[in-house]
Amino acid sequence: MNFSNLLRHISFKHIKLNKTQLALIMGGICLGVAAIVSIDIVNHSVLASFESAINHISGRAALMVSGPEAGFPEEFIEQIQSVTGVEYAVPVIETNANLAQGQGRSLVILGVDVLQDHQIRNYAISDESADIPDPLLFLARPDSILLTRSLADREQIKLDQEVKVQTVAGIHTFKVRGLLNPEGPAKVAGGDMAVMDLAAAQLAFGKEGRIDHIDLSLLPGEQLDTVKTRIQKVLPAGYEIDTPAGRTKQVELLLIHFRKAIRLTGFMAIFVGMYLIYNSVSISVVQRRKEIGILRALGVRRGEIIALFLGETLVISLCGSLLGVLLGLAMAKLTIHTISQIITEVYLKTTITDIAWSWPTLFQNAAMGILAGLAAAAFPAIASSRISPISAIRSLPYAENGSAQSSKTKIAATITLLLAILLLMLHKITGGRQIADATHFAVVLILLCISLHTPIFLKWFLDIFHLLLSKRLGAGGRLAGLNLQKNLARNAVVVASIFCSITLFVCSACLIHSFRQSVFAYIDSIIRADIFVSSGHPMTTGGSPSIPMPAEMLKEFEEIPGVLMAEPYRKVYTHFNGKRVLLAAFDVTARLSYCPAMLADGNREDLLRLLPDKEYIAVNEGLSAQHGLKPGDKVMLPTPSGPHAFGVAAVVVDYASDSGCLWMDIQTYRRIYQDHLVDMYELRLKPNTEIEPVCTTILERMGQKRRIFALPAGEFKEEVRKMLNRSFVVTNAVNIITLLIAALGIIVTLLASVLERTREIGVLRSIGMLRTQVAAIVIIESALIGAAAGLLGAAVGLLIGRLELEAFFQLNMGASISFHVHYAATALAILLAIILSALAGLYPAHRAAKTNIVEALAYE
Amino acid sequence: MIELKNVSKQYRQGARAVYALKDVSLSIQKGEFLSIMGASGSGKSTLLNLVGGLDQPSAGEVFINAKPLHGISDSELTLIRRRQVGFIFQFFNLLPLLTAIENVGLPLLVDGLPFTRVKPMAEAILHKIGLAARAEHRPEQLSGGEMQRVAIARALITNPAVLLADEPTGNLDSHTGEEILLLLKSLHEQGQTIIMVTHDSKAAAYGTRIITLKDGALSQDVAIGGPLA
Amino acid sequence: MSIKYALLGILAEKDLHGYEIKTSFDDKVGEFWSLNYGQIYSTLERLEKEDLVTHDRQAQDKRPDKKIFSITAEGRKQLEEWLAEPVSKLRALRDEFFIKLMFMDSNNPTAILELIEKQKALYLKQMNRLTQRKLALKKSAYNRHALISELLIDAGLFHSEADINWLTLCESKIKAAMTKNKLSR
Repeated sequence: MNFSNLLRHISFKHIKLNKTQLALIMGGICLGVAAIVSIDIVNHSVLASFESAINHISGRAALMVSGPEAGFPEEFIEQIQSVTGVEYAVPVIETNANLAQGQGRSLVILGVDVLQDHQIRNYAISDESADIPDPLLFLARPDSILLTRSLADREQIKLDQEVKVQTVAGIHTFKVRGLLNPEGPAKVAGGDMAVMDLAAAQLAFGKEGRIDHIDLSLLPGEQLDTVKTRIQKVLPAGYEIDTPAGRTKQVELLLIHFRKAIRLTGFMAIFVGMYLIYNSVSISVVQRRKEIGILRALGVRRGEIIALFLGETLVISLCGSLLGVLLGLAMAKLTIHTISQIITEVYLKTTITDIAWSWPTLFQNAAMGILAGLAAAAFPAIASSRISPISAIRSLPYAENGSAQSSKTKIAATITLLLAILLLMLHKITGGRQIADATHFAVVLILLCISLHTPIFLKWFLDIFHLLLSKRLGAGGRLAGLNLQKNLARNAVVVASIFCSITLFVCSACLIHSFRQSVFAYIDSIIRADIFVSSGHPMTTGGSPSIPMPAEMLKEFEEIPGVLMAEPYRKVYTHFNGKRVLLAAFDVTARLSYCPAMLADGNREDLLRLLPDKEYIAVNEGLSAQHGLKPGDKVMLPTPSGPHAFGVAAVVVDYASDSGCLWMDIQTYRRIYQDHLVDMYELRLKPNTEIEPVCTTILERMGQKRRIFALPAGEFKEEVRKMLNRSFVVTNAVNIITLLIAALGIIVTLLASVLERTREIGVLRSIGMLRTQVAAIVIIESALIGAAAGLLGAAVGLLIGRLELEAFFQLNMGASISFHVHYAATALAILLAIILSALAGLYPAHRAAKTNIVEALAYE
Repeated sequence: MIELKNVSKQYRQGARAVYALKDVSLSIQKGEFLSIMGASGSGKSTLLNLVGGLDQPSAGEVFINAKPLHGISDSELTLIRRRQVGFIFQFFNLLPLLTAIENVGLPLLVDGLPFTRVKPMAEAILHKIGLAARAEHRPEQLSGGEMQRVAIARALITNPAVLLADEPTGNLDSHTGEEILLLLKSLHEQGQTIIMVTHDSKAAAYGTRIITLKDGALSQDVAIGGPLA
Repeated sequence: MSIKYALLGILAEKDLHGYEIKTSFDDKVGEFWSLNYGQIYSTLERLEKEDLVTHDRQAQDKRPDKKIFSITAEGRKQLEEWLAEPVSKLRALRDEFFIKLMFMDSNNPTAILELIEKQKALYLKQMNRLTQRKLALKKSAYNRHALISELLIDAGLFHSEADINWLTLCESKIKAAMTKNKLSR
């Protein structure tokens, strides 16, 4: 018999017969593939959005020079221009702002040199105002602005009308001098951008005399790398020169933790999906023993039997993967907005307008689903080929023997465990940031080892169940336990798949919980003021960035009745050893007078003694761990006046940025960075002053001039909490998908077990067992599976959570986060495992209850 | 005691309807040992299933002890099976997972009795049928005859109004089959009403009355003890 | 042929007179094989001629002398030889029913079917009686004699079953032929 005949005449018959089972398996594969596809697309889209923004903004610029985020002196431009090989070097202000009208839409503002910028970027003015050849000439007057056509349409603004924009000095009115067609920079942020004259932008956004970056083009025939090296020689340390592609790389680096975390959970979904396929193919092999025996007796070769099962799996996983790709696309489309918001809140401002995907990635993910399916099917398929032709004659029902653990699996389990321990030890000894992935690998090995041991665990669990409970549950409970014991190996695979997803659930719940506990403790230590004032909503939940406020506002605040003191807070990013880190500047003396700063190394006295108005900083644990910084060390930071040495006074606990952050006294900052802007004012009130009236007064006095938010501490903390919760939304979603796949595994397994026991169920019904009693047996069975998996998963989840905490946070981010067991989530996970399993048992239970007694008993 | 009035049973076989029983009326007295004979497909098993409440008639009425088995809910029917009827099958149909004593006690366990109460009752019955030593054995450790005796014990534990046996010797050799029939006969002599379906005339000869079904209808009703010719 | 060995077998156990021989015979195999005195006496005469059996006369009051038969050494020898040999001849199909079947009107199959039906009912009743006897035997004291009798009853039951099965097959084949004829007409 040739293979295609086998597939056509045998496999397709099975497909027709077992539609439900197949649909379930396909659903599992579909979900797994959908998870990785959507994660991939989201990752891809996020990067693509940054990349396109960078590309659109850079225009023809071959290189881009950037310095401290607060900007650097514009005189610098002449130095760059004079470098051999540079054709044009143009200054740019690139900042976020928001409209002070309509819904307060957030914009990217580009401040450019009107006379030169067209050398780098193309602006296409729309027809109505096209009689002047260079659109940038519209901007000759400082109150001019160019909007994109799409933005103007959305906000219903016409040419020559006025538009209100929030600036440092408050709400400022600009005149729309032209509308840009969606070309070049006008495509940035989906068109939510505006162009202003450089000088006007400097004024509006508090960057007088400073620029954000210099874009430059090369003379024809010049080598990029040569010119780059030449410029590097001119540039002081701390300045960056990079190609647009290099900038994309940096963004990629910045988002690496986020991308890693969600990819990891995505792979878990596939891993659990593999259990599902392994199990369903094993079941299929058991159910078709006789058929395989007959085929073998008729002269079908072993290889052909293996090919038969692999062929069937291929067809199923092909369909499942294709559906998964479609579902993944849909899921990505649905979630991209939320994810864009999370990234804006946690990392960088981004406006992702649509998902970006490519055929190769889709193909790659679908192929991964198919390969995972085939790999999972390989073992049972090989087992099927060992079925002897004698099975065809024997009509005895096949049951696995109770102790389904061969010595081979025991050896495999021991080896994996030893390997995992070895890896962990290696990790500890080397203190290993270099091999941080070793922990992940060790964790996978531990999961594998425990998976191999699930039959023994399930046996223990059932023994205990028999001892304690089965008598109380009557005949149904006893039978349920016995049925599980009969097909121990098969049920153990389901336990393994559920246990994996529960482990994942508990592990990530505890990690998130530990992280949150630490962050909350930090927030509580740092947020001690009564009112927080900023121009954007704090934590930018609405997606509107805060436009800094001038330092002079401090006095206004202190004049408000009830205010004890106002404290400025400035938050900028700076380059540090090639990384983008957060620089938080505030009045250290004032802050420490009421906040108990959390210190990891050094002491409070040093902070108070060394920081105020001196060239000292405090670094957070992340920076300390990554760069080996201790109190007393010296670091170089780029400043507008060139690189500047700072002493490290202490190592503090600060979770404000996962790439590291440092503290500086605001006096020091203003002196060295020449930046007098303030992102947030923190107000403390006199004792027994009511908060609300003060907030109202602030809005009344200052709300006219600028958009302003005054939030009481309670609300502010609440916002932070909300943001933190949202940032784990992806992880939670993938965890749920993984659980769903595991639940599909239960349905497939129980359904097979019910179909196999048709006769037995017929007997039970004939001796007077009610339909509900029969259904109860099946549901008890699945709840037992769930309980076993839940308990095991919770225990392993806690263990792995501990290991991953070190690997993920402490080693990658350097943050010392103590492990907190999330008791509620752990209990919930066990409960969820039981309930979800019981729910998964409903359909098989329904099938069991519906069994036709006469047919079941006549059935041979 | 058992009454069938104009009972018909019809199955769908693809598009066409097939009659398994056509207008059968039959009355079985308490203490009778009725053998039902007939070729395969003659409707004899269907008749047994209807009397045992495994199935319900398409038309007509079935009564056990004047209680109707037709037109009642599945739960009601199940409870009648549980308490009024004991089944014995050709393939024994013991649960392979349970020991002999658990199999015997199963109907009472199903009825919600605790095993502590069921155990002595099951032990007594196993003792009576001479299998006390096999109580803790699983079906796979028993011979065919022993399995069938365990099945009979299971059928008896609820003290049913009628014992229904579907080819009880069909899967046994002649000698073992005879032992099972002798056991049934002795139960009959103790007053047990038995209905047995068989195609084996040697087995049927144990009955006090033999009926033969042909194509879903009653074709012969031989009461034993009458003149030979 | 085998009446000879049956009588030799009976006499090998015990010396008996003619009447007792008949009772013993009936007791043992009477269920399937009935012999009249004539057959017994003519066989005994033949056996005496062959010197396998002898007889003594026993005087009785008011009645003719009783002949007490006993087996000779030669008779015992021949009996033992016969017992050791398996039966080489198959059972003869000499049943009365076969003859009836042979001569019934083949154009009236309904009549044949009716006859078969009646015959089957009769066999069933017969089997029931045999079973009753077997049950009675089972209840009586268990000895070698009872075992042999039970085995003979079993043989009878098996033969009757075979007859019933054969009759059922006849029924089925005749019916099939009837429908075939109907169709061909």
